Amino acid sequence: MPEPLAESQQHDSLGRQLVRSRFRSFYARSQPYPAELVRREFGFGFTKKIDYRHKSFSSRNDFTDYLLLEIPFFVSYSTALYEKPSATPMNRKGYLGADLVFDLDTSYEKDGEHEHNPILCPHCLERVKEDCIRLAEDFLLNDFGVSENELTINYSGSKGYHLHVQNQAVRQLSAEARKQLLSYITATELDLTRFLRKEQFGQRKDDYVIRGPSWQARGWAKKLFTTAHSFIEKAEAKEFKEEHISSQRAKKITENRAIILNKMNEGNWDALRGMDSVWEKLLRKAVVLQSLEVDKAVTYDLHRLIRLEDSLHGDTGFVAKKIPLNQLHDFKPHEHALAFDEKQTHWIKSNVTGTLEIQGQKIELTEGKLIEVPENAAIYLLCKQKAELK
Amino acid sequence: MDDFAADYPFSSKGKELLKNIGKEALTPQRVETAGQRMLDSMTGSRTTSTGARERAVDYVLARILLAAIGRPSATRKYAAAIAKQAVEKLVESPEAYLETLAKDFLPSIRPTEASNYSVSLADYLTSGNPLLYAPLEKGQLFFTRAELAELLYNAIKNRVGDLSSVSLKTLPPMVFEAAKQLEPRLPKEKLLSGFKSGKYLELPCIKAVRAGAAEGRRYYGSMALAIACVKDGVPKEDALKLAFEYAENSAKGSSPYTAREAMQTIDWVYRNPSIGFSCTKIREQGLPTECGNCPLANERKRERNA
Repeated sequence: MPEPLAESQQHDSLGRQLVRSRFRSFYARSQPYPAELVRREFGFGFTKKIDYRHKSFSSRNDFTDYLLLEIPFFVSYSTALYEKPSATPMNRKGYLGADLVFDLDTSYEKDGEHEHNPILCPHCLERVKEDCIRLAEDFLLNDFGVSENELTINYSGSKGYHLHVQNQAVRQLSAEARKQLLSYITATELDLTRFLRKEQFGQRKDDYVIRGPSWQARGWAKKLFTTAHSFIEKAEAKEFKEEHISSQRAKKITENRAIILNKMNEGNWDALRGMDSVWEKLLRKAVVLQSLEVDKAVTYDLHRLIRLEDSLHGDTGFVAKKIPLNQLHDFKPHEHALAFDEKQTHWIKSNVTGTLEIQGQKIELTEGKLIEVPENAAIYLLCKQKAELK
Repeated sequence: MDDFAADYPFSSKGKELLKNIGKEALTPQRVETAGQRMLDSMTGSRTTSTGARERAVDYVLARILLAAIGRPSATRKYAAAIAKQAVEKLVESPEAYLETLAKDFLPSIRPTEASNYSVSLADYLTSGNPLLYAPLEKGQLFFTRAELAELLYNAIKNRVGDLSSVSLKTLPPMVFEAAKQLEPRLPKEKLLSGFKSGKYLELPCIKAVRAGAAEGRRYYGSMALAIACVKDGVPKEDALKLAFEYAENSAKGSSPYTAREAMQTIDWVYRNPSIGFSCTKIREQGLPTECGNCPLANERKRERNA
């Protein structure tokens, strides 16, 4: 259990007091709550993400009152629904089913395309957002047949995105079935040799044809077909070089492009002999381009707690904001997930040197120096313990 | 429709046929006959033709006996035999039988023009078939008749092999007596291709691990098994089969332990073959040990004393 509120507030630094007061104001004007609130277990964090759990509420009002009274820095709820959400141990809760949830927070810090900003990195946030769009569009909508009104997407409030699917069919999926979905998305166990096979049609050694996915293929076969077909259709010298395909081979492909593509459409990947290594490279490329890395435990653990959409994240002060899929392309957390008064400013002493890009401004911070910053920046730096309030 | 129910006693029609059968079926003679027919199914021997109701009762009694015997490899073998028989019968049966049976496992099944049948993703996931290579599009999977039969084979095998609904507590002692008589006659599983257990796999602790580990000890159990396989020079293909058997034998507990998890350990250990076999670790992890009778422990003791 967390220490009593009054006592914990006595120990609060000025910065902590400011954060707490702003969190209180936020929850006074914005009351997030999950679907089927009374069937959910809640967990709250004051010093870490979850200090305690097994809490439940009988109404939305009770829940809001709790937020306003306790001002938790982190609010999480169960992806599962229970008969008795506050009962312990877990097997006494009476499990009724669970939403299907995905958590994307891949680290792109070492992505060579950018200079990583350890204070707040817009490039990394953008990359994870691209993954989120792919997960939603390519896998959930196109492959799994989830409809848009069953899908909720929210920014996590920190480095990633959460995707929630809510319908009766997914609620009954076992942990094992959820692992199957993960296996499909991550494709880490995909054996590419299963997609291309030699079909012998005569006695001689060369009497074979290589069969592979056609334009009618489905599932991963379709993804592999699309990537390879598109490469053959569009590749120029630069692209061939990037894939380490020799210039002689590239020339042959370019000369026979139309016939290779036509045959591929029919499932014949043998219009040109000696393409084995080219296909292997292209299929590997397809897996890299089309698979995704997700936090698996969040999906298959049926008793997992996850951040409440539209609540505040205690490590950033950002809102774990719900975003309609059609607005996701333009969403920028450091501009659109801000919770506090954009005109209010505070003086802080920075503990770091670097640039903080927030609220459309680039703020240059120098370690040990005082600076007046907008409230959203101040709260972010205080939550991250990268500044002190002055 | 009695024949359908008797041929496919695991289906809902089979359950209907069996609805009115009470404990009167549990006579020693009837249980013994059912046990013999179970053995015949497992070995592929022909049995004398019987009535629909009797065949359905055989199925129920066989599963009760398997639950009482408690040997997962035998249950697996029986389930595979029943699934094989069922799918073979489908080939000779009226066209409608396939769809009727398929609906029982995959209620969303629909005939389609191009691929014969489509099934919803949620249904497919409950059938126990892998998704990674499946023809998936917009939440539907598409199959030809032959592919559907294969899908059903796996689904039937899973359903027949799941004995969680058999309550051992309510069974009369006579069933356990029959199970005891039957157990030595069960066919030995030819799990491994020409492979012989070596020194490490024959150790008492590893034999105990192979019989399954409790929740909380399953991961290290799989490590110990994998290391023993490497030390004995077991081909990886055979080690994977052992891992599969180990996962089946291990406690399912609150969080299921899957064959894939055990196989991943095998995979990792075979990529790191220099890892040593540690008796201490086995003891520390609470795995069953019988060090007093252990040839390896005695050998190591002799080496230390020499």
